[in-house]
Amino acid sequence: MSSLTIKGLTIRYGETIAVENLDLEVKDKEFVVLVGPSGCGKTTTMIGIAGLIGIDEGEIWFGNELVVCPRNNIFKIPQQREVAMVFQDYAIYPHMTVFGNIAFPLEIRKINKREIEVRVEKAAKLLKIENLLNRKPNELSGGQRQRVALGRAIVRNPKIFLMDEPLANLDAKLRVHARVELKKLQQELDTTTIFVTHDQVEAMTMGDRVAVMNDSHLEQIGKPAELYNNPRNRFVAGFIGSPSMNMFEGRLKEEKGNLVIDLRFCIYELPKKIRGLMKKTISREVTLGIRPENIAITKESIRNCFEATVTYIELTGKEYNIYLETGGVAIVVTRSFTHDLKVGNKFWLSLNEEKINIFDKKLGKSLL
Amino acid sequence: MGGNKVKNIKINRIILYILLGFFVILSLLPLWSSVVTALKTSKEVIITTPITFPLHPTLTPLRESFDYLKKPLTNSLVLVVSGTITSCFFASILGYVFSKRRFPGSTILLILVILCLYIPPQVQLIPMVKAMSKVGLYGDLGSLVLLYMLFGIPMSTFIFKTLYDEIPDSFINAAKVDGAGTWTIYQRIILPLSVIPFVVAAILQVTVIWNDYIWGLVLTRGMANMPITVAIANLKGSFVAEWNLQMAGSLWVALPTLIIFIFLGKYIMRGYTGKI
Repeated sequence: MSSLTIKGLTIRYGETIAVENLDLEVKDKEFVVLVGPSGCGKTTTMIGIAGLIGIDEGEIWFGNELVVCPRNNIFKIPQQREVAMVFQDYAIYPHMTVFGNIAFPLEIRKINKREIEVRVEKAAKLLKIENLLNRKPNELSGGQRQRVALGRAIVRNPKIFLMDEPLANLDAKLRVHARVELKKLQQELDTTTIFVTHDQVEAMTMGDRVAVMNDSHLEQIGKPAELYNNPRNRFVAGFIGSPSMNMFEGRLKEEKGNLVIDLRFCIYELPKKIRGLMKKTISREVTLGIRPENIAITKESIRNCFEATVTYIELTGKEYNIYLETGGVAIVVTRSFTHDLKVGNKFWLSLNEEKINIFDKKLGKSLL
Repeated sequence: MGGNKVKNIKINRIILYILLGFFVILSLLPLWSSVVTALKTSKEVIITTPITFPLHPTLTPLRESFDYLKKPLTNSLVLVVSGTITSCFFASILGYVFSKRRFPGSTILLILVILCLYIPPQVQLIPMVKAMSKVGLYGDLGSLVLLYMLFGIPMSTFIFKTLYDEIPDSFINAAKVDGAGTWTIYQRIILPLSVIPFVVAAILQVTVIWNDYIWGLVLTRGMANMPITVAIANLKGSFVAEWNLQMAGSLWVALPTLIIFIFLGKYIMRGYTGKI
């Protein structure tokens, strides 16, 4: 068990920059999820932590131990870094039994046979795979293989767990189940964990904190609720949450002493509270962001609202996604009922003033 | 219309089978001819055509030629076993390094190794004879033993490398993170997964060494050192061509490779396509 500190991490593949100047602080026993679209550098960061590739700049610390720092020519090879890693394809050796696979890291460490047996059985029990120990991997289902891969990781009592999309190859139902199990397991073991995924739902549900990466750098790190409610920029706002946050482009204007945003399809009057929060902005071009559940649909016009036509209604199960359109702009609203709505009809939409996000259009930074 | 289509397909099939049948007969004809000739007496060889069945089948030519070829057969066996085992052993390690332990310049080295496959033996004959005389192995079976051990490595390395490329890199990375060093990874992960590359490389080496003629002809002297292919050429007789003896001898030579191709042919295909 150990904390993890990454300072100014830069990794290049030849000319391409995979990770640029990344700072990350993971507390002891914390579960941090690295999330981002493919190619954002999250897996590269992880294999950099594991030591499977060299880094170009920066430092990585496990607790008080500096494991890599190119400036001082320090590089601990993966074998010396007491991390355990779970791979997306599980990397289970097909020629060994489940027992052999889980025991492998211990056998390499020349631990005596009896202790290996005890530890493998303990890990297997924890993962509920005691009855599979004599099977070969090709006799196992996807979920069972994933458990074997986890078993091989936990049997070592590593300082840090690294998990590279371990749930990506499971079918949807199993994935939700495995998500809960994995989180419970981590809480039980109390081991610092870095978890890489491209699935924002996984990130939000599992992480103590979530680090959103995009285009080789860190966009924002914080508790899931923080990312959801107060995204620091437009990328995070759009990436977290499904359906995505509605984004309306507009211009800040002063009108009758009020600060308004001209959204073209409506002049939106900013509430006083937000006005107070607004940082000085050079650009008047802004993006107004509002999550689908924070828009109310009404039949009558109320203050500060605008009209839109329902184009499509989609049932997701527990709620409906309602697609609307106004002046060429598409809007999504989620609601638990639709009996008062009809495709093709016009309704009035009003935004929850507490939940509005405003971003600089050019820089994408939040202005709140 | 549908009926026409079915009919067309049928006619195409029939033509195809006729053609295939023709080529099968054509390519099996020499084998057939050597089998029937090997079962004939010298007299019958002269009075019958080489494809007719023997009137009084006899095993004498087979027995006689086997006695004659006993020593060369053992020689060839020694060559095949030593050459195949040694070259496969080194090639497996080289293949592992080239596939999973890349280092700066490893691609260039691999290309150089593979280029060795394209140097024709004719170019190497004289230098090799000189080199073997220098080390005192010229004329001896030992020269061929050494030669095949080395000459098998490039081709086998290529086979091992291509088949090792199919093993996911995550196996290696997982083992590294779990604390295994390069040699441990080779022993515990790579080697147990190498059954097919070993079979493929071994089959190719066995057939190449067994069938090779030129090196045995150039580097060895005397029946005691000759491989079987060279010895069989001596069966042809100085004044009279003893066809039945020659054919019987050829059958002994062809038998091992024939068996390999019939039972293990699919592995050879895998070797060429690079699929484990």
